[in-house]
Amino acid sequence: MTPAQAADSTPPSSTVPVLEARGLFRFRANDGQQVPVVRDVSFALRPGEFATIMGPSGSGKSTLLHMLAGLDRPSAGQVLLDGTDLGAGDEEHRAAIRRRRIGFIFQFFNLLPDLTVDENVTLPLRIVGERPKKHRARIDGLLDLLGIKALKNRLPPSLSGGEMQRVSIARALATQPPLVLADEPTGNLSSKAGEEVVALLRSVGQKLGTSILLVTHNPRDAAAGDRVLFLHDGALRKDAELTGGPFRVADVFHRLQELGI
Amino acid sequence: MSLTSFIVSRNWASSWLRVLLTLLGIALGVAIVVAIYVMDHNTIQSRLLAAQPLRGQVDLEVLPLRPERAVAEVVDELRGHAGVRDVAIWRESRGVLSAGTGGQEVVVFGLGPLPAGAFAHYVVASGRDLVAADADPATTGVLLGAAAAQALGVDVGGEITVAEPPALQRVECKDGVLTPAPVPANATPFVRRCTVVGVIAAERLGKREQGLVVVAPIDVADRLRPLGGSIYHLLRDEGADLDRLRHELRSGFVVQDARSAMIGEGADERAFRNGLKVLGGLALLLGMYVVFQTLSHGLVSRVRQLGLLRCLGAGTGAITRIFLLDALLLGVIGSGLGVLLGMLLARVLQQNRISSLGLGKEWSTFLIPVFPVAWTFTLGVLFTLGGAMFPLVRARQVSALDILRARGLAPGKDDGIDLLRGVHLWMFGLLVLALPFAYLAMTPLAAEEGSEMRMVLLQLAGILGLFGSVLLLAPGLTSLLGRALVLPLRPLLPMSSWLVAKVLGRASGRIAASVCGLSAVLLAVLGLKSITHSLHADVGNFAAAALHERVFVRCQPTTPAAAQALAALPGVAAVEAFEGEERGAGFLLRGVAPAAAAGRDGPLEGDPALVRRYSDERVRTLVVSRRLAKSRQWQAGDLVAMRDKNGVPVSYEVLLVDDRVGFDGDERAFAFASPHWLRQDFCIPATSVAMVTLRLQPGADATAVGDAAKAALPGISGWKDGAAIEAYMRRDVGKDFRLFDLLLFLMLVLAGVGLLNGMTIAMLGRARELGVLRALGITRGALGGSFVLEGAVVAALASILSCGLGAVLATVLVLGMNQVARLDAPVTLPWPWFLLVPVLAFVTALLASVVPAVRALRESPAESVRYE
Repeated sequence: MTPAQAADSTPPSSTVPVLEARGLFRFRANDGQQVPVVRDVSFALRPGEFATIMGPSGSGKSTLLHMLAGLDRPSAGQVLLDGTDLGAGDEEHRAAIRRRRIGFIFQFFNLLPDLTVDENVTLPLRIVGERPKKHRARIDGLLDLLGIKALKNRLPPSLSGGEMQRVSIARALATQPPLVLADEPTGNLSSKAGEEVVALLRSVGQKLGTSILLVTHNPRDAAAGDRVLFLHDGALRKDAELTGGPFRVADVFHRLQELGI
Repeated sequence: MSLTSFIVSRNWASSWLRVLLTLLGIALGVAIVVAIYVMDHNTIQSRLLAAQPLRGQVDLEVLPLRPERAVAEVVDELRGHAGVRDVAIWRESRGVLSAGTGGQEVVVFGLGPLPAGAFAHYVVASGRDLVAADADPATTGVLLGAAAAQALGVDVGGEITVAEPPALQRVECKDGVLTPAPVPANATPFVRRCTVVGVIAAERLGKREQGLVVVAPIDVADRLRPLGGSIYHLLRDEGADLDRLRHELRSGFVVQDARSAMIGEGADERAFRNGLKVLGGLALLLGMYVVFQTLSHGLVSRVRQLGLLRCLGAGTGAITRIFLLDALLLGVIGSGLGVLLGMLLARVLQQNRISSLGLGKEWSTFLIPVFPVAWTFTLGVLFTLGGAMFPLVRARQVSALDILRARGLAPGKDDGIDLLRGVHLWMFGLLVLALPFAYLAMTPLAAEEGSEMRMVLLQLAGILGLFGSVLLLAPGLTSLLGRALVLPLRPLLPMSSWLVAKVLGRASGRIAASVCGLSAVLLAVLGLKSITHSLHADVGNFAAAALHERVFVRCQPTTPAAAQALAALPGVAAVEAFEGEERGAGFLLRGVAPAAAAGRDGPLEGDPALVRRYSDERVRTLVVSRRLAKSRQWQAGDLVAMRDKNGVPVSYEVLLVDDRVGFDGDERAFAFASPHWLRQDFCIPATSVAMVTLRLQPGADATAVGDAAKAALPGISGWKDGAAIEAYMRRDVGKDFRLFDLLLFLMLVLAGVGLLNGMTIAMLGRARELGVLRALGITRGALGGSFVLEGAVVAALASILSCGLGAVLATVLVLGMNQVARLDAPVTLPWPWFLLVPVLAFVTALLASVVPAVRALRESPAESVRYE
């Protein structure tokens, strides 16, 4: 069995964290020197947990998220998904893990403009080799849950930013992955639309039992998490971590002020 | 629906323009080649049918110079030549068949060895083919023609008798006089009892004599009343060099080339066919260039989709399948459409009597040459897949994250990800190296016409390869030159010229490829026009030697003296009467009196030694025209083997190569000898003059002389003025080559499609950039103008390059044509076309730039800058 096949077939276990980062480092070359972008990041995400990583622009949020998704390889450290080392295999192995176990929400939506809403949402099913028809009822329910069922035959260019991000969320959840990673999902939205999207993400995650890790620079989005982690200059400030959310936005602001971010 | 077919089908639906242009490129390229091959194949088949409708597949017919040689020895020698696949002996005789009472006179075709197999002289309709055992005198088997079987009332298995017909008085040419041949005394007529083993269908041999034919072992035909000597039929190996074979056999045999006889001595026709094949190759190249442009540059517009698919977990296998299915469908559908379109085009050509031997020449069959058509289809599919390999490899190399991160994905190294890095090498390898060789591999003409053709094609490929390699491997040069061209326009069109300069720097590979495609067609135009201009110059040279101040008269056969009487007509300076005509050696041989050959402006004028040798009644000599000499590669002093009227080999020495005497107003490949030898060897009668050339005095009125000749000599059926013949020849050159104009026009369309494609796809890749420019307030005129200006720069570069290289290419082409078609046309450059070619380039490029310009202007600036 190839690593990719193994990744496709290994069932998730509830006794281990859905996602675990162990001592992650990422260096980038800058004027011939290796500069750390992410430094010694370790944390774990429990099944069904909605965690947020808060940090200013340039703090390494997206780089961290890309490593967690297997889109980028850490310079050092490990990423474990349900106990499986994401770095153990090649790109094919990581792609197989992504298609089965991770849903990804992009800041810029990245919807395919020539596909309808429904086709965009069911695209991950096709990628895993499933027939969308087989999952019709569930997908319809998901679209309904996200309030975009009426838009299912529309093309992305005719949608508003908020609607597009809802489609993006639906796409991330289409294969029922245990983990959804969201990269600044409200960065391109109005504050009202952003609020709605985060609320939706939280409620859908709870209903479906999906673990969600959201990175943002927006304290209001971060406050929606069960747990808020603070990333500064590529390192997690464990001492500042907020747990037992959701929180008030003011709590997050207060913590940011404490950290001097 | 699987991911692969889903993505491909949606891509096709949403990018219909890309799909349409790609299909158009493949289909047009394949169609032109298919049409050319179908037309050429059927032109040849029709000519074969017309010339030898009652014969099977024969490449060469040879007769031993020493007829007394044993058959087995001759067969062994022929089989020993490299490239000879099979040898058969053929003899035609008269015989009488009987089955019980009565008899039926038939023609008996003796064949050996049996069965004739690959020669396919006949088709067995019922019963079986002849086998070796049928040659046994005790159990002789024969095949009957349908009419013969019906007339005798016999069928397969029946018994018949083949007998020698009653003896006839035969004549032979003896000392210039036809005299009765001696009949052997008390000769017993030959009779043989035979079994009918089969009946042949009413085609090929079975069609001869309305089916009153018998196919029998060679010894039967030998012993009946022969209608000539034994002829050896040769089939060559696939691809064997016919020229070389013919040359090798010439020392021991009189060689008749069935194909060259069919193509005739029309050397310009051979040039025409060869030119068509070369143009076919160019069309295929351009078609594939369009495909390549579309597929590789299409990567830019599809790369985000692929990046996203990979982010969502699609593996490289899925990406590979998407590319390959897309390319395979494009290749198969495009090539299939091309084949159909090619057939359709061939039909149109057939209906308009356009053949591969020129215009106005009908072809009656419509057979599909399976190998070249299938190979063209395969090439279309393979090169489309090849075109898809580049984007596939690149798509696999660039990381998904890089794709999603990149803001301005476009072809160019300034954009973060240079998606098209290496595209030139790929294009060079596929289009400049692989495709021409693949095309040459399928081009039967190269093998059929021998090594000379291959050499010319290699020279052409060398020039175009050099040209392509400079453009494709060093696109920076194109960019540099293009920017230099744009520089003076800066004050006039500041924004457009700035944008174009940026494009030239960023997308030099695409621009170089566009210049390369357009230049290829422009070079073909210049090359073709060089050929026609050179052929015109050749006609001019021939006219100066053989046509000017002459009137060519055809009349009922008369005596040389009666013809010479025309010299007394006003305006006539001299008379050349052609005494007799002989075509047995595969060319036209006439008798011309020594006085005419040595007269004023005659070829022997002022050279008493030549005149003496020409008139010598002990040595056979002849004067050959330049075209015949070139075609047969004869020069003064060579010996020409022929057979006289009795079938006895005779040799003539080539005395001189000259056009001034011997032309009859029609065929330029001719020879003439002293009438003494035509009488001696061919027994031409006393009243043998049917063609007369009247040389006019300076300033004489040709019409008046022609009319006066008609009045003076009874039986003149018509006359032609030399000037009118020259005009006709010139028209013929122009008319025949009009087909090339049509093909070149189609290729210009192809090049335009390629340019349009490249520009449109590049525009789509730059949609965001263009949207931002619009949002920042760039005028529609400046934006649209930048595309038109880009087209103009491509046209200017293509014009400069093609005009610069045109002179070299023209020289190689004309020299190549002379070499391959055995012509002697002077290299003449078509100067007016050096001015017209840039006009063609600009019109094509400007038309091609309209679509991307309109598309760019239709892009909504708000949409372009909405998210990022």
